Amino acid sequence: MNEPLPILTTRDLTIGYTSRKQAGRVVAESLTLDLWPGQLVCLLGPNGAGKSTLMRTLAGLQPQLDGEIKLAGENLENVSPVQLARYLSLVLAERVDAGNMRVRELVTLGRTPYTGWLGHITHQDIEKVEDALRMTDTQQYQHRRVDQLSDGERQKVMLARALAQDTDLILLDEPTAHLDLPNRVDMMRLLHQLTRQTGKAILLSTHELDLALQAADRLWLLAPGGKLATGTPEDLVLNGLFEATFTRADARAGFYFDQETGSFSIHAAESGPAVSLTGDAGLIFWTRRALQREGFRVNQATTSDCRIDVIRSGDVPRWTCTCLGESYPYTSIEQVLTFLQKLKEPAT
Amino acid sequence: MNIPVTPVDQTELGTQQNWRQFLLPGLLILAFFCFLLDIALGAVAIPLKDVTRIVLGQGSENTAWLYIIQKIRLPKAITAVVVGCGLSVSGLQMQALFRNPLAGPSELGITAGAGLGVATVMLGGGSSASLYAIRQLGISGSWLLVLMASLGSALVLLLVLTIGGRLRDNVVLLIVGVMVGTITLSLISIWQYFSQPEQLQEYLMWTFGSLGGVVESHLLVLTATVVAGLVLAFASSKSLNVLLLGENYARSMGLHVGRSRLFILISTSLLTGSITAFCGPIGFIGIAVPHLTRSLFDTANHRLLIPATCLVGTVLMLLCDSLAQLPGTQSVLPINVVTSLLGAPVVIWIIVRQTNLRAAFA
Repeated sequence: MNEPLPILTTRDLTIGYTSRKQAGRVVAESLTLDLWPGQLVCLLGPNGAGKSTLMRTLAGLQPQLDGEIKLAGENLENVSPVQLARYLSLVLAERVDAGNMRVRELVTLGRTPYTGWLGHITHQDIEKVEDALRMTDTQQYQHRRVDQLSDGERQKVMLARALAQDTDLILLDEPTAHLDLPNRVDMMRLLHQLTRQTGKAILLSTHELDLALQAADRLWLLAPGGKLATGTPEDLVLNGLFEATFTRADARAGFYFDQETGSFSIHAAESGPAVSLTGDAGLIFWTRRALQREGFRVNQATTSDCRIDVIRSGDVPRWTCTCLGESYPYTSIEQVLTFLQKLKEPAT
Repeated sequence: MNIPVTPVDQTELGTQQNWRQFLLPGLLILAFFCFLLDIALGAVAIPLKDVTRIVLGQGSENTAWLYIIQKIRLPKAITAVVVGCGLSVSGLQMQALFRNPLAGPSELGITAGAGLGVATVMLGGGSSASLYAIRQLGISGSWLLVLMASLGSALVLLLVLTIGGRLRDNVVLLIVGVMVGTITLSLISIWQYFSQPEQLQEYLMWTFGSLGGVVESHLLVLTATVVAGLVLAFASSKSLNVLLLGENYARSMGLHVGRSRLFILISTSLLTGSITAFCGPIGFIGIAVPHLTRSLFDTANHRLLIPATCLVGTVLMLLCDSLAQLPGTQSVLPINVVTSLLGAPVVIWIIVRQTNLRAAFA
């Protein structure tokens, strides 16, 4: 393979709106981005940071305010609509209500940039449609009506349509927005797999931080105010940029990013009695969550008011609470919490 | 749960495809018989055998029958065909353009716009420009009427598109259309108020709608305009398909959205404008026929839908016209009354069937 070139590059890009009321509302500026073939890139950022604006600008649906976007080496502004449709395809968050269109017909519409003025379909088009249906695993409902699909199925069909468009780059604007958890995971798995199978570049904006950290090759983090950070997910977590993008300036935000678990946690009040926790790692994890929710300070110190030792004997977890020299055995977290509540009451 | 459903669905689809192959030729044959029926019915009873012979150009010994059929009933039946095709395709295009099942030429006030154009010619041009005078003017007068009516349609369509285009709500768009239509009709009423009684009578007669008022020279102008509109519509069939997914998707697939919309707008205005100019406002064909066709053919592909809509529109319009003759009597109903009686229930059916519309009303 010869040296791969980025499919999409931006240099000093300024995005935003030119409305008559406010002359040029800038959402983000000096964005310098590169998108390489075979990469799954997730664009993350809190609501209102300008993810959609960036996606729309990169897709050519909205003019850029300044700087340059190059698509396959050509300036985006000079690419004709038909040519653009052969470079990049879109999956949008908006719901498609296409009357009594069949799934197959919808996917075939992806061939639009290649068909003649009446939309005649050739053998090659049919092949591409078959490939797209197979890769997204949507063949089994290719004859169903689009309005009878579930949200998860519909989103896969829209992805199949984008694949049939046969572009090197696919942009997806919040493709997992209306899906339940299994469908969201499935969608991300599918996108990851597609980048590996086809060598296409896929860029998606999403709110699925957990999934993005797991599946993405690179993250683009867009913070409010237009600050952008890019890099490998793990690097961004370790250098704190990931957390910085999502934590609010005020201290009363009530949540924090836990580097150990790679997820955001709710800040508990942590004003209650201190409890030390020892034992089985998996059991400690869940016990600590329960205790933190109830406001206990959890640590490993032995000077705590109360010690809890949790071990697995056989298949059954057992909690041993030692308090003021006395030990009490329990078999569920609920019992432990009930016991600790009593401990809390005289203190308050 | 889907697993047992899917195979059943597919076998059902298989049988459906089988009978759907015969739908287009079947409709063609049906249209031909409706055409004959429409010509056979009328104040003077003419046997079907003679009707067929005269229509096929074999002549007849009875010169009165020959005259009635060639000069009156044949032009009227051809007008019915042209109107049926034109209004239906116009409605089909508007439903794709607005992505709205309730869009149609009369519902969104497009016919009212054409009416404004007609009023401009009939009421505005002084006494010399009555419909009678236009008939005397012949071809050039008809072109003027078509031009003004099409311009009126385009104006209203552009207005509704600008206001309602950004609204995704079906019902709100309908209300915008009705309001724009009301404004247009009010303008015409004001104009009527200051007009001469003779002009008024002409205009009022026009508003009843009639297929019979189209004389041969008009028919030529009408047919030419409608054929042009239909060709334009068929040429837009690819854009219409893509536009079903919405503007953003259409653009991402390389469609020049503005240009495609302009073509659809021109086609729709030509079809609605010319037909309304000569036959008066004819309601509900434009909204009802596309729906009937879609459920008959079960497709969203406009390359098939446009010819299919033409056929269904032809059949329905010929049947409406035959009914308007009130078979067995000497009287004739205005065509608009018949199409409304048949078409309005279809609109109610759409509203009841569409769950998202029901949710919007609740």
